[in-house]
Amino acid sequence: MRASFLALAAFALSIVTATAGVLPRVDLPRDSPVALLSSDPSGSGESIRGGTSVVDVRVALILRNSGQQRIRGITLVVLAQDVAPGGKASVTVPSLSVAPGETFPVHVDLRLLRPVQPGDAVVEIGLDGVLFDNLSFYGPNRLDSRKALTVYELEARRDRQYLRGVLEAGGPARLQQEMLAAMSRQADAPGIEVQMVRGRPTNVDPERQVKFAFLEFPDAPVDSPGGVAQVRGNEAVTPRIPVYNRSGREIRSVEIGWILHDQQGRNFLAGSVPAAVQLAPGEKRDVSQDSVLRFSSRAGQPMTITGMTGFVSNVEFADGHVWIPSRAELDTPNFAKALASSPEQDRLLQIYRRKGLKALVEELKKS
Amino acid sequence: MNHPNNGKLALLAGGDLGFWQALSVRWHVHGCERCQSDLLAFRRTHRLVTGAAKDLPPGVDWNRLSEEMTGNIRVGLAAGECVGGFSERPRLFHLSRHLRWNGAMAAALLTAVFVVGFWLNLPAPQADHLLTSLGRIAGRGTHAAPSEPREMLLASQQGIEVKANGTSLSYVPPESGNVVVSVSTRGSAAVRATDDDTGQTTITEVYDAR
Repeated sequence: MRASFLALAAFALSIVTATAGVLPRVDLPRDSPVALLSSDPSGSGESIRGGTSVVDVRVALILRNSGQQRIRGITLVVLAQDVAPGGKASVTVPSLSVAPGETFPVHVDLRLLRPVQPGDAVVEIGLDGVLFDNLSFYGPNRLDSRKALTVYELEARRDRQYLRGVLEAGGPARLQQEMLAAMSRQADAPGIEVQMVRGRPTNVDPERQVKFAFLEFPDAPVDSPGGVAQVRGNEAVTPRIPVYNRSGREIRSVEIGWILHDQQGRNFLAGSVPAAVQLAPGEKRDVSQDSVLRFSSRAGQPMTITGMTGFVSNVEFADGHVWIPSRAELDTPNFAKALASSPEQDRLLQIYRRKGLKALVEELKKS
Repeated sequence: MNHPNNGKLALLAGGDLGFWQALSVRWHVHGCERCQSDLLAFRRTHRLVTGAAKDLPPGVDWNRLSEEMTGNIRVGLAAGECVGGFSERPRLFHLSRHLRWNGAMAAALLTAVFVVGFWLNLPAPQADHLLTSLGRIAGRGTHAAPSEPREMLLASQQGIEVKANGTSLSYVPPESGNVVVSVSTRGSAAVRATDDDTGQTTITEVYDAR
């Protein structure tokens, strides 16, 4: 009887869990400035859990710069055909400095859940864009990675220049103070959970309109008198922000950063409101998205939104040039903690943590 | 020496013992003083009881009572035969009480193993969905539950996820290192994580249908 029981238990478990192989396909264009040296999908696999298929896409890629220019950033697109109609993810590596002929790693680590169905999961990895050190770009740019990579690169240059200035003005001791302050800001940054949904809001609290205050950046090419969003408890619905092009150049897109205030007086970076708006010089338009955002604290408790502040996060001109705010503009005392550091600043902080001040100074001396 | 037991002596005293057994007992009693004494005692008792039975309470019709009792006994025997006919068939499953409990315990244990295994292996979104559905069933629709959106983006320090039509795509950042999460109202959620060992920063982003 014991043997038959064990056999039945083993059969039941085999129904619950079964594994199979999944090999994501890497497809780079023939004229791509990066070449695939190796692809290790050994961490990938598919398992059946109940009525759901769990597909782990874990691939370690080694790419080589096969072009003539130094690469500053790359975005790969991951298409999972089974998540209809979305099923799209991207993996971006900014703050690179890869000379022609050099190699660099890119790790893809995603999980796809889908109902159990016959046939293997189809996962394709492709190239969306590569940014070079002269800010030129290669790639289909379907995910708008050109602007994102350019913003990361400009932020990296801005932050490196700022830290070089700190080093020159105050020496290593001052640079160390700056790093410690940045680490403290990172540790103190309040975390929130955000859910974004389409369609009507589900919260039944009475709706109220909350005005956006707007941080004034003197050098920003756009200005705003402040916007509004419908707020229902912990939900913010369809933020609407009018922007005015005060530059002399045509604008292609604007991205507004969005800071929330809660009842405890804390500030949270809630997200960004990007919009592709064609703005001629002097023209005014609304930046708006039909979205419902629901905010909770890190512990999962719904937050009560008491106020909001917006700021211009970046602006893309029609000629492809990008504007970002300066360090001085971002050092607003009340909001500095809420604003996220740049990827390059994170990388430099990591060098300081792992290798020390001397290594950081050496890193800043590089071009 | 084997003496007949008191039961046989009592039946002999009442004249109710079978012919061959009565012959054998009488033969023994004939040569045994002790059994003769016992038999005489039983006969005396029998006479006393018979005498007492003749004096029935007033209003009792013994003949009618006897017929009713006989009828009831016949009905009981007939019912017993009917039931007895059925008891033969399920003999294959006629397990002892001990075995029956063992079987029930094994079935319950197997069910528990299956349910626990199923639940542990069920991904969190599907588990949430199942819990919500069970909650709705338990609530029997007494209050209207909010309709679940067809598409949703989630972002927290634990990771990012896009859910649509029963499928999802997610990324969980490594536990070590600094993690920055952001949401774009254009329809994406992103996690920025810096690898502790290599120092390389990677931004993973998932997108909704738009």
